[in-house]
Amino acid sequence: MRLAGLMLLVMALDIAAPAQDMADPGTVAVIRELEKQWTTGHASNDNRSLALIFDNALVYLEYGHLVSKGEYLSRIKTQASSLDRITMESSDVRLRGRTALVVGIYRETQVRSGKSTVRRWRFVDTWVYKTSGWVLIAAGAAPIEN
Amino acid sequence: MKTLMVLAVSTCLAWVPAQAQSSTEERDTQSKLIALEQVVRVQALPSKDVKTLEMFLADEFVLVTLEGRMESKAETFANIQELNSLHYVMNEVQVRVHGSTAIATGLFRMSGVQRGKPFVRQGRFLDTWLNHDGRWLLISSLSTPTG
Repeated sequence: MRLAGLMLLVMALDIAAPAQDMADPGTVAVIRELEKQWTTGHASNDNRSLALIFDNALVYLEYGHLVSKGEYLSRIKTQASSLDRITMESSDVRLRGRTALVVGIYRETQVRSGKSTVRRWRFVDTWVYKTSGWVLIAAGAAPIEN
Repeated sequence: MKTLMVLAVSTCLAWVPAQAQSSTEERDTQSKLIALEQVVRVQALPSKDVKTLEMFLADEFVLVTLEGRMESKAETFANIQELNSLHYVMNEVQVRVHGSTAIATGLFRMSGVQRGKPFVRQGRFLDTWLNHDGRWLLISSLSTPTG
């Protein structure tokens, strides 16, 4: 009996979900907040919070290499937090139904052997709304040539 | 009550075939998008076939080039017209489907002449496709150098 009730509830929720309006200004704020969480999580080696906002099939393109969610999170866990700093310069959120694109520029400051280098990157992040909420499914960046 | 139980059980039984159907659909979508990547990158781009590109690039299409420049659809089309010749090869194309959104990645090598200057470039691309009313449209494309 409980099972029947539960199944009906699940079916009802599944029908109701697509009716949600993803184009409202609040969604842009949610995506911006998630981007901020990513930057903060990266800086503080917080791979647990990053795991929640990354889809399991995440594709991360970095320096021409494809990096999976597991590889990215393992690296975040072990890297020294003080060495790299990401500063967002600009970002534009573009919504299309249950998909959000974030296009922008960030500045990466790396410290290696006491020497600091700064590089600017243009990025594209793709977020998708799933049953658990918005999750990052793809991200990539290209170095900006001077 | 009996009806509810029957409905619940049949819903559970329908779960497995639905999942199987879903992965078949996913494979079909992957094959379709790999073919579309071929059409856009290997065929339409070198032959400056703007009509075909117009069909598959969304109006809000955004390109991030290997040099980190951002171009709109109109800017991309204008730059294509400046190509004197282009040879484009791609491989290791993979597609991940997330409902009506899909991510395609792959390696490419292009060589040719632009505004009279020869060039050779290679890298990896990351494309975002969106299904709009049954049609797959490319909404963003990012390239980054390899090696």
